[in-house]
Amino acid sequence: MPEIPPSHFNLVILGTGLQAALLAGRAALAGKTVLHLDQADHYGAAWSTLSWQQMQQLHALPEAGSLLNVSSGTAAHADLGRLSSYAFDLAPRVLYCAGPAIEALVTTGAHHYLEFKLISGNYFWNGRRLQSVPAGRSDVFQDRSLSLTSKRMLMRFLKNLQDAMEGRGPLKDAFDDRPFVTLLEQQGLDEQLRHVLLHAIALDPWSSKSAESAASSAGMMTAARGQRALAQHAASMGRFGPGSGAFLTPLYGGSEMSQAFCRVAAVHGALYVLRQPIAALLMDSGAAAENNSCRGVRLDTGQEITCSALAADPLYLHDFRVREASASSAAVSRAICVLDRPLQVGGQQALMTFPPGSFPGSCQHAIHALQLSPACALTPPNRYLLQLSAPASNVHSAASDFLPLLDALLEVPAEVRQALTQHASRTSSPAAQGPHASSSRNQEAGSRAVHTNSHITASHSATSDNQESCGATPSHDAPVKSSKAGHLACDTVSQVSGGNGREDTTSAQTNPLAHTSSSLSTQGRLQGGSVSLQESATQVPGSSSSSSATASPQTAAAIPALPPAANEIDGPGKAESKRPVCLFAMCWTQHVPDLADFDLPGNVAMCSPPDAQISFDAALAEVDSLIDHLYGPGSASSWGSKRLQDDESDEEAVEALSHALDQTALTE
Amino acid sequence: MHGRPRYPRPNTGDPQKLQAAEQRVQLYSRLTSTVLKRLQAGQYDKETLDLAARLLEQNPEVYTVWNHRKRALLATLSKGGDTAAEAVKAELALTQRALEKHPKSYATWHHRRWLVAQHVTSLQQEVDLVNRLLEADERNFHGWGYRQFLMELMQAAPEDEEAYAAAKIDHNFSNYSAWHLKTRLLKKVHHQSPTVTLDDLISAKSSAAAAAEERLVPFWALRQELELVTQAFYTDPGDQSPWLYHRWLLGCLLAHAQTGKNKEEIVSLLQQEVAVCKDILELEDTAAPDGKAASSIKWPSLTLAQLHELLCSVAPSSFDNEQTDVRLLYRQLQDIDQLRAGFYTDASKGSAKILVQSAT
Repeated sequence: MPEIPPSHFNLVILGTGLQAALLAGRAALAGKTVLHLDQADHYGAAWSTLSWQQMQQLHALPEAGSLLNVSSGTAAHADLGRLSSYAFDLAPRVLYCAGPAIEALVTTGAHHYLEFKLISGNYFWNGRRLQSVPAGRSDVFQDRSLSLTSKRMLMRFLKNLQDAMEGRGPLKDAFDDRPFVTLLEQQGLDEQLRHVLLHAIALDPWSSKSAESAASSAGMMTAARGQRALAQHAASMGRFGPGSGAFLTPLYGGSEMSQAFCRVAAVHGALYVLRQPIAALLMDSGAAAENNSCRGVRLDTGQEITCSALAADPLYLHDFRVREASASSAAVSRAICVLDRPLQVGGQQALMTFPPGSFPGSCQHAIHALQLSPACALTPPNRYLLQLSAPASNVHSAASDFLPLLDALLEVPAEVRQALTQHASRTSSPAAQGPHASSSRNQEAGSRAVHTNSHITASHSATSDNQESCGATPSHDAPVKSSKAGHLACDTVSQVSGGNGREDTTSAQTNPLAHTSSSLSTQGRLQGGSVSLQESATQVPGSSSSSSATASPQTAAAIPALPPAANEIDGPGKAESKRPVCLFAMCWTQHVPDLADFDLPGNVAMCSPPDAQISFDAALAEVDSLIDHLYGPGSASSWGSKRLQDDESDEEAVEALSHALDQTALTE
Repeated sequence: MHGRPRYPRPNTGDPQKLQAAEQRVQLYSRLTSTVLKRLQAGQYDKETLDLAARLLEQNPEVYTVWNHRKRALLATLSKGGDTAAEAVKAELALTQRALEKHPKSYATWHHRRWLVAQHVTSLQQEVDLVNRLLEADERNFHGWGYRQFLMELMQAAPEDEEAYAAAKIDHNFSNYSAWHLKTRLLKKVHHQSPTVTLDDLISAKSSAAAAAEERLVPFWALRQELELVTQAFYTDPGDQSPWLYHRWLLGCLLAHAQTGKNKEEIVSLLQQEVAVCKDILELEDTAAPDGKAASSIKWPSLTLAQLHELLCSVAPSSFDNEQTDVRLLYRQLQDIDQLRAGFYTDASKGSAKILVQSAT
């Protein structure tokens, strides 16, 4: 590998995760010389978007160092479509339409490189079904499921919150360090509304109950933070047109965000080298231990590069780890499912929140699920992604956090279920040393890009299953086609049932949007056309449920108390086929290193890996504090940014007028 | 779009900006005088009209210039055919540019109506455009007026219009224009097909009385509307637009009362509304016992007073004791809403203008 020409940089950044990328962009814009290295061959680090192929070889990637308990399963005869059309986010996230993430994109100019999809649906699980989140005034007005008193309580709280932002009203001093949930309780909001505000609007994934008991309430949302989150949500609602919701998601996956910031940095002179392992961090030891500083890095080519400041993913900072990660340290359970049809009849991008305790036996925290349609360019046509994340309740098995939810909402074929659970039981005995093992792997990963991983190889049986089924797809051409036809027929069934939603309880549950006056006319039309559609619907049970038929009895037996949504489905026939089939699922636990476990030199900053949050905003807002840490307080705000002007200025008007008059001057 | 000054305030800080603003004024007056001089001399050549367009883009309120443009267009319009359509299209584009900068300019909207009334361009395109405007600025009453103008030209079904207004209200019920449109449409929707039964003919009911009854909004529709405004009241009792619509609904009930029929039905509906107002006031009371939010109790209090008055007038014998309640409410309103204290004094004496008018 050729030498990197200058041997000194103002800032060296290791790893191209989200925070590192924004830091690189901001530093380059501020005129710093930046060298940005990553040992992987792609951008994003723990925030990457990976191809199907890369997911199969996850254990060989550097970011796998913090991933545990990986398990995956593919449904037998599953028609996944073109495997190369898939891309999976290691940390799927959304952006508030008016939050720090948008601010960061616009001030750096990174938005020029990105496209977004609106997340039009925001739902929460009310214990029986998914229901639209009453987030704004118009939602509350239209929502007939809230009692009139709840309506008043909710709206009054939101009004008082707005007043408090302006330093007025009865709650102007209430938004302090007390738990947000306590304040909500004091304001007379019932449990469901508290859950909606805390988990579905402020997007806090941590259960308020566990925060009360646990001594470490660091993750608990304070009233002050809750206020900011709700205000941010209110500003975001409908920012991109009426009914556009409050959230966006990047097209082509979350690592686009990292790449865009990196491109901004590169355009402003930062130097990028991927596939560049680091041999060592070079230290300058001062007289006292706290004067330690990092002088630079030694690359695996032997070249030494000096720098004034260094920022890095935790993966590269194992030298400074002073404590092993404790068993209770933060971890995130994540799951990806490929569905044959959307969970919501609309079929669009949707964010779903399952408050703590939604399903007996599952995660004790709130689960956020992000459904993405093929419009997000992460799946082939007619295949949908459902991505789940939650603070891990069980650090030894991500699958156990999600299975009750998956069973309640999806048709999980037996073989997929087995692949997910088998692994969970296998790792449960040695898993006490799970986090410990991960930190030792981190050390390995720091110096060597390639390493083996016993936990991940444990899932190989499932992986080879996938490969078999992938290989089988082209040769079994005819069955694939027929099952495709089956899926198409299924789509029409769900459409028809969506139209007849009023009569059919199960489809009414999956169609919470069918209450506006405009949809009434659509219903009329669908009902009118349902005769011919129903004919094709009769073919469905035979053609498409072949994979699910074997699965359903076992699934039902495994979960003792299915929520009513599942129980109300009245038979194996047409109704059964309405639930999306989980064609492929993958679960893992992601370890989140704690900054407190590291003793970093003064000129070194740690870029956080993704935690259990579902929005990009908090992580991007934290970059300001990284900048202040490296360059002194106030640096972040003094580093310039490009701002947009919206009003026509006098200068522009003068130009337009002069232009008009110039033309007359010529003729007069 | 609301609560914003129409023009940006002059920036006083930066001398460079001040100079630019001054230059803008000078150039603008030069342009205006040039254009007006030429137009008044009847000079309707292309260059002058282009200059006039520039002027209107800067300031669309110079209605003289719009009128000169109309005159200039008349010649082209008389030719008819594609030339006329093209000319009107170009003129529509100009008004659109002007409206994008100044969406509340009367002169521009008038000009556009005149253009559309020439019937040489597509009306549907206009509807799409005004729908987009009302998405961006949902309370622009110029837009609402223009939309109704189009609907009359197109003879649109009142049911579709009602659905449009309802959707707008669903999105944001703080919209007088949408509620107002509903008041105009509800009557139309329910009176299109006067049903004359055989019984009516046999009983030889006077046709005038039958027609008057036909013009009333039926009870089932009123009940539906009352439910809708109740949802709005609980969402935000401080927002006055649903309360004003509610007042119109009470007027519809009063109109029913004047026919002398269905007295029980009317009284029960009025009492149901009394309960709603009382419940809202009670909720506000428990919420902030010390400093009541004046804005959120003004409308339920006033409406409650009006409901009591209505009950007294509809069924005088059974509700005479309500009078004391009413006086108390008006006294409270004098404190909450001091700017209108005089009005409430008059109202409690019974000498205020009628608060609820029979909506016939």
